[in-house]
Amino acid sequence: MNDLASLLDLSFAWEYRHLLIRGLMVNIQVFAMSAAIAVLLGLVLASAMLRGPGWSRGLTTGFAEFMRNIPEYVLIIWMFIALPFLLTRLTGTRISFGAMPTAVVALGLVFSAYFAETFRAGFQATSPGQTEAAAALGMMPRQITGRILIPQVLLRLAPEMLNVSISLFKTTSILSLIGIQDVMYQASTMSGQLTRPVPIYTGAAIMFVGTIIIASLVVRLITAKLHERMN
Amino acid sequence: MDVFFRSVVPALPLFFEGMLVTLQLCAIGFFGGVVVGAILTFLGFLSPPTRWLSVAIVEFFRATPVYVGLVWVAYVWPELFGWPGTAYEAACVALVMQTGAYLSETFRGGILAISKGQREAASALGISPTAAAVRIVLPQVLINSIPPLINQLVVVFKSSTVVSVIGVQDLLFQANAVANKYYEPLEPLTFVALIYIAIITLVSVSARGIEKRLRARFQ
Repeated sequence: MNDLASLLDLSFAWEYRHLLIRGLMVNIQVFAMSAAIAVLLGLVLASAMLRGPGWSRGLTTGFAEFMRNIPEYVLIIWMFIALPFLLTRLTGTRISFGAMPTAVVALGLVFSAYFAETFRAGFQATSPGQTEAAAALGMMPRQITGRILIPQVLLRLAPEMLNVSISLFKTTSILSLIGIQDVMYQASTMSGQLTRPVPIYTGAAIMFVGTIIIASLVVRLITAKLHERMN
Repeated sequence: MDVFFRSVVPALPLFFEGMLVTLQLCAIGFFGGVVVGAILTFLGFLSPPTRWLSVAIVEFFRATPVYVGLVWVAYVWPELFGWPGTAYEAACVALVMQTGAYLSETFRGGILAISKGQREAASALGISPTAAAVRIVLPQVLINSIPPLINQLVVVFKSSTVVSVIGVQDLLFQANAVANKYYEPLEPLTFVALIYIAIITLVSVSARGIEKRLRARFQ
C-alpha cells in the first residue's frame, strides 16, 4: 500500500502544475477558436439544410455526413502532412501549414457538422403555433424572433450544444500528436524526463475530467436559471 | 498516379495487415465494451455501494478523452497493477473501458425507459420479477439499444485511430510507415483516409437503415 501511495504520489503532479496548466491553456485556446468556427459554420450549414435551394441541401448534407464519418485524427494528419504536399505539387511552390491553424480548422470543420445537426433539429422543433400566437398578440416579427424563438431554441439546444462542446474539448487532447504543446505534450515530455508516468499522466487525466465536469456544472446552472426565469 | 503505383500498390499487403489489426481491435473493443457495459449497468441497479462504484467508473471513462485514457492505461496501469503488458493489450483495454462506460449509460437509459406499468402488469398476471426482467424488460431494452449500439461502433472505429501512437500497428500506423519510407505522404495517407471514411460511412448508414426499419416494425 505504501508502494502504491508513493507511485501515485499526486503531489508530484502538483509540483509541476504550472507546466500542465500552461498545456491546458493551449487546449482551451484551440477549443475556443475551433468552437467559434464550428458554431458559425454550423449555423450556416443548418440554414442551408433547412432553407437553401435543392443543390445546397444535398451539398451541405453530404459535407456534414463526410465530416462526421472521418476520424478526427486522420483528418488532422491528412491536413497537416498530406495537404501541404498536394498543394506544393499543384502550385510548384513550397507550402506548409502551422500546427495550430491546421488543428483549429480541422476541428472546426468536423464539429461544424455536429453543431449543424443540433441547430437543424432545434429549428425544426419550434412549433409554428408560437409564431402565430405572438403575431396575434401584436408582436413584431423581430420581437418574435428575438424574444420568443431564439430563447426557446437556445434553451432547448443547451444540453446538446454542451455535449458537442465537451466532445470538441476532449478531441483537443490529440493536439500533441502534431507537435502542439498541450497538456498531453507537457505530460509526455515530463514523464520522459522524470520517469514518473503514474502521477503525471493521472494528473493530466484529472485536468481533463475536472475541466469537463466544472464546465458542464456551470452550463447546467446557467440553463436552470434561465429556465426558472422563463417559466 | 505514378507515385500511387510506386508507394501504395507495393504496400497493399502491409495495409491489409494493418486493416486486420484495426478490425480485430474494434471487434474486441466493441464486444468487450458490450459485456463491460452490461456489467456496469447491472452493478448500477444492484445496491448503493456498487452503484457508486459503477457511477465513478462510468463518469471517469466518459469524461476522459480516448487518447488520454489510452496513454493512461498503457503507461500508468502497468506500474500500478503490473498489467497490461503490451501496447496491443493496452489499446484493447482502453477501448473496452471507453465503450463499456458509454454503453452502460445507453443500457441504463433503455431500462428506465420501459415504463413501470409493464412490470406492474406482469406481476398482476403472476409473472415473477425475474421472469418479468428477462422476458419482458430485457427484449425491449435490447431492441431499443440496437441503433445506439451501432452508433457506438462508429465511435469505436474513430477512437481506434489513436492506438498507433503507443505503437500498435494498425491501419494508420502502416500508412505513416509507408509515407515515411517513400517520403510520399500524399498517396498512402489519402488512400487510408478513404478506407476509414468508407467503412465508417457504411456502418453509420446501415445504423440509420436499421433504426428506420425497427421503428416501422415496433410503432
